[in-house]
Amino acid sequence: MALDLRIVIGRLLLAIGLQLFVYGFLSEGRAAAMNIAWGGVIIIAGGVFHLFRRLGKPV
Amino acid sequence: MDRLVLAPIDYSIILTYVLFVLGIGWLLKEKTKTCEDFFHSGHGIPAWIAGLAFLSANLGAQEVMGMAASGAKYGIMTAHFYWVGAVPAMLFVGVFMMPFYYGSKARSVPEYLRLRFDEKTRGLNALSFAAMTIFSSGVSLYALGLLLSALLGWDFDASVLAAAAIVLVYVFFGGLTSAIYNEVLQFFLIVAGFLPLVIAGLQDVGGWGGLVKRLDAVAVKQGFASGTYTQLWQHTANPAANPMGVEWFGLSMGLGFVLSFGYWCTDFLVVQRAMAAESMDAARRTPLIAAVPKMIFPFLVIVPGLIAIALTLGGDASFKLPAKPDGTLNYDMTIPMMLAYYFPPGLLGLGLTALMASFMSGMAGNVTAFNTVFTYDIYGAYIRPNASDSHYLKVGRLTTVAGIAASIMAAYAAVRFNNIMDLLQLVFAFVNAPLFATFLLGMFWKRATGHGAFWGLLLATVSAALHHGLTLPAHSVPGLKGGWLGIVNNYPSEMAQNFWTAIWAFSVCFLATFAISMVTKPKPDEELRGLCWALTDRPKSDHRGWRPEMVAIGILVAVGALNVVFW
Repeated sequence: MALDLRIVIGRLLLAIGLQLFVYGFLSEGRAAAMNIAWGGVIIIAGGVFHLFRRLGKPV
Repeated sequence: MDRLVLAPIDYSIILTYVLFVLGIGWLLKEKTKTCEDFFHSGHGIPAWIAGLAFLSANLGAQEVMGMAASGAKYGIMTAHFYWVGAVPAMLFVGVFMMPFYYGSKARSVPEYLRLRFDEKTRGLNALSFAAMTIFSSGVSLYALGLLLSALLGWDFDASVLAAAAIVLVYVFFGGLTSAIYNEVLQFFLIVAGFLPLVIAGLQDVGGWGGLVKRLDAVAVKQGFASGTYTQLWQHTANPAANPMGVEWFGLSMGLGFVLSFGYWCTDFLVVQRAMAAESMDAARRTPLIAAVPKMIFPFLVIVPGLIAIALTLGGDASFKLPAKPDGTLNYDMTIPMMLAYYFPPGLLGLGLTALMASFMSGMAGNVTAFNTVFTYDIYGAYIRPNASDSHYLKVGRLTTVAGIAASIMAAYAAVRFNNIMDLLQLVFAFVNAPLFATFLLGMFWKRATGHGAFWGLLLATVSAALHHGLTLPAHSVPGLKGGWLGIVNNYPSEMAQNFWTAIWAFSVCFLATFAISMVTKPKPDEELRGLCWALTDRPKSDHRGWRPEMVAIGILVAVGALNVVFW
């Protein structure tokens, strides 16, 4: 299968996480704290999915 | 209820998801050239993807929002729908039933029924299933339009048409693979969107201990014993002692056996995901992989409901669930209200994207199951048999368009008839519950015959309707809720009535199929090889540490432990 779902999931999470993270830095108070924290977690999760690609055969 | 105002960041996150979804459909277009690709994903889906899709096909937004609503209404007893009403059935289908579905080379559940029984049994199942999927898909679309118009003030028509168009594009081009990929994306979006909600909510109420303390007070305030909202089994000896109004036998037999096995073991919507797996081994592991997150999901979807009711009836917070015109709490708004209360712009967009993804995946799942059953079991069987592969592929794509159009019509029918959701649930109970008896006898008793299966199913459906027509839940008026033939029994709740309707339908189907089979001629053994337990070689796992039986036992122990912990 040409489309590797691990990469798709990884990129979607990265795209969403980065937006939250950057928006968090432009915000204040609770919005800043929550968006930076969860944006960061989602970016890491997206990165992990990219790493998964190295561990198995192409999906 | 005040409408939410979205910030540009929220729109940006929703748009990112939509672009990914459409991109998947477009990229898969080139790889979808035959019926095998379109309807079965080329039987090339790895177990972990099939497993998450198997789980997510059942994770439509009605399920997600409905479970949170039930959490608020009934407390942690809602987890019975997972730990009793899903996981054991998922293990059963993986260990015992998948060898027949996958090994028989049937392309759909109705086709398995043709191979095992006869053409009329397949026709009956194909027609009822096709109708149910369209209604279900339409109700999903209706609920999405309703949510977006109530919550965001978006136009109902535009929301319905836009969601339908997105689903059409990705299913039309990418077929089942596209639907499965999007279901997996939806799974991760729900986790990413709901986990911060649970954590923020628990922090707010003082952790799990604080939540239990508040819920104990809520239970006493509602006239129940302290602990009713946080204990699974302790208050089920008497149906009046718990908010669900059910007792342990109806719960275990009705939900834990008939309804859950009827759904997870026979509904082609979920079974299709496992049948698309790359091997028999992967197909058997699919429901087992799905069972693990299924076991954990109550913490993600039910806990927000528990927090919502603790805050609403706890009396010391600014959070309140809205009331319906009749003054009762509108539990269906639990998730949207919690998202609005806890999430700032940004995360709010993520939470809403997770909800939209659930609606669209739920619809796509129904549409892919519909186009397969219609093309193979209705068009290919009765309208134009023996046509070319390219012809059926074209019909499959046209059926996708027709299925989406019919779903839109069903969505508008739901607007006109506000009880269509209740009606749909009723039809599920009438049709799915007896079907499990048919499969149980068909797979494990080689003497079961086609006449027995067909008449057993019909009689069970009629008897379920009779049971419904002669009973009524408390606080209901005769009509769609029951009692339309007269009232011979009152149930403490709708749920108790549903469980007993299912038990009744299953029992009648089992007994009628057994009795009629005994007086009709069975198929010879040669025709039943690969379709019956006694005439099928046991599949051998090619993964030593992954023997499905052992994995299933491990999961069963874990789910048993959860029942004990929250006893």
